[in-house]
Amino acid sequence: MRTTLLCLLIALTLSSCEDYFFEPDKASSNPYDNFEYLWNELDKKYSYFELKNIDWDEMKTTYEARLYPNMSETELFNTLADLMNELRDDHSNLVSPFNVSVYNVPLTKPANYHARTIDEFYIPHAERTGSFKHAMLSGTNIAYIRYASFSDDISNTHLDYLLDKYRYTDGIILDLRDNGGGSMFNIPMLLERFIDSRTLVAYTLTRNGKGRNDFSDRATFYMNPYKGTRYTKPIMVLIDRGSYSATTFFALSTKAIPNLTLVGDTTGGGGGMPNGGQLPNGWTYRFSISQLLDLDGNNYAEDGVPPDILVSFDWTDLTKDEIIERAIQEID
Amino acid sequence: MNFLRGIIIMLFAMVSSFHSYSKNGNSANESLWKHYFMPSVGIELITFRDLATSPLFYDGVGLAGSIAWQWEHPKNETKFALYATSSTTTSRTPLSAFFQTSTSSSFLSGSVYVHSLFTLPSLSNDKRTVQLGGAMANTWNIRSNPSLFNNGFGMESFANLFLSGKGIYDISRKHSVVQDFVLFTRTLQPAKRNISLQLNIGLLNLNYRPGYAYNADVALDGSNTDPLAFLLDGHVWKINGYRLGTQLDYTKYIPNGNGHRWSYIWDIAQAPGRFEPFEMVTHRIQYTLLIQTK
Repeated sequence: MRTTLLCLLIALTLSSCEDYFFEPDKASSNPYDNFEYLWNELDKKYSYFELKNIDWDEMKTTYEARLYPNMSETELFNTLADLMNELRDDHSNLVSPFNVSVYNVPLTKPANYHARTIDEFYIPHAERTGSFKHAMLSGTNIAYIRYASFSDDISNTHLDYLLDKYRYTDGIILDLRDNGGGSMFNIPMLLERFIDSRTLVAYTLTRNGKGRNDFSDRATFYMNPYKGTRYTKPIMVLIDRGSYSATTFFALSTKAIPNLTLVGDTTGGGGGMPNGGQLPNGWTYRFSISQLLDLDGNNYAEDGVPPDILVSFDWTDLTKDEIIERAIQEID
Repeated sequence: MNFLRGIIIMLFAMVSSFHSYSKNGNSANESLWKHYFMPSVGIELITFRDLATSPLFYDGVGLAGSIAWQWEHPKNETKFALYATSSTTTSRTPLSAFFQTSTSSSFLSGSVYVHSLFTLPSLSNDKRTVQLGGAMANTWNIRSNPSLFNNGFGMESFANLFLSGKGIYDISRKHSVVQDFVLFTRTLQPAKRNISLQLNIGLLNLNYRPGYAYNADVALDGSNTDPLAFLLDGHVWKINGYRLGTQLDYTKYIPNGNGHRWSYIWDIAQAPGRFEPFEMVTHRIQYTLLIQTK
């Protein structure tokens, strides 16, 4: 019995000392701790300080002055959200149980997409296949395909159906306006249907050090042609300021593919890949940690990819979509 | 990847050599060998913190299972085991009087473990066996925490070489014991039992942690859809940190040579990695069936 108790005592003594093996618990609801943590994380990892000409040290001085002991959680949230919104980046969000901060890039420029106009006057009898809404445009030999969000799954079966159905058309209009992005993996799912050979479409740089301009070497973004049904006739890709994140990535990639043409307005941007993390009080956040470059090394994607053909929506006549009309004209 | 392959090959080489040794032993001692197959189930309490994504500890409970093979001889003991655990954890978040935050993470873990212990005759006698030797463990954790957005998928590995010591104390009941409870009596039959305590101290501690940006480059690349590459690219091996473990066993044998074992297993690891540390501790209560195969 004495031996048994001794063994038990040794085992429990070691396991009860485990707090001494770890760094101290950093959980805290103190506003200063949370501000410091968030500012430091952004300082160490955010990818667009220099490109956006943001004086991050000055931001610390400005927003730290708004803190005070025992401030309410909503006041702390608003202060931290304002700090993040200085990045002018919809990939920079603070998430609490009562609010989510968003900068709202699309609201900084005019809208160029009105769903009712398309549904009522262009595709009143549209089919819905998986994540796509599509139809032939009346009076043309052109198909219209709407993909509303890169968060919506794409299946090869659905794409096979679509591209088989429209294989004898003169061209396709792929509408990515107001598509706020989603999964990066859906970009190659689509683009690989529109190319005949392995194609380099973009480069990415990722923060890899504490210096605000510390980045990895360029990582290549290649597309490989799909082995099944493909479509390599003209494709007009419609974009606007609501086309963000993965849609910006897609739009930039089209610059390397000759049969794809961007029509509409500059995309909203969001070329950086966002990460994710948690504050000492439990709230979560995300912000961009990488940059997206075109094949010439130009770094404009964070502010938006410009269209090849600039066209604006005329909000005085909601029976007509000028951007679709221009795309039809281009294919014809 | 080459380094990882090297570790796996080393592990298998170690296990194979132990097994051959058992077969090539002195024929006079052949009858002293006992081979056991040991399936186990258990409940595990886990605490971890990945400082690359959160300053908060995550606590939870999970189910654990393992299978092990053990080769015992009065002069040495070799064990090879495979462990798997599935847990659900929640963050240790400060209390809020306004809106309480709560985030959770699922946690899957798998380990390969092998040890070889040699009896120290000078410290051993009929009642007590003291063993010293080495152990190796390779643990892989996979975590999912959707509230961390693109960093919601976490993976790390530890590969550790331990100095291992074990004390086994014979607490067998040699004679029948009659217990008198006034209203009734109970006779306890002779039983072979022992209690053991093993301590593993990490001497060489390797860890495999995400790179600086945490998101793997391949996730940014997007054109590489190979799941294995997605898991492994962007991670880096580093030699640092520590790992400690204890295992307290109570084993009771039955006359046919099989047995039951109840264990308390404590395992603690810290992996600073190249950039930000990962810490974890587990407490496991485990029941094992010892099936003598030789």
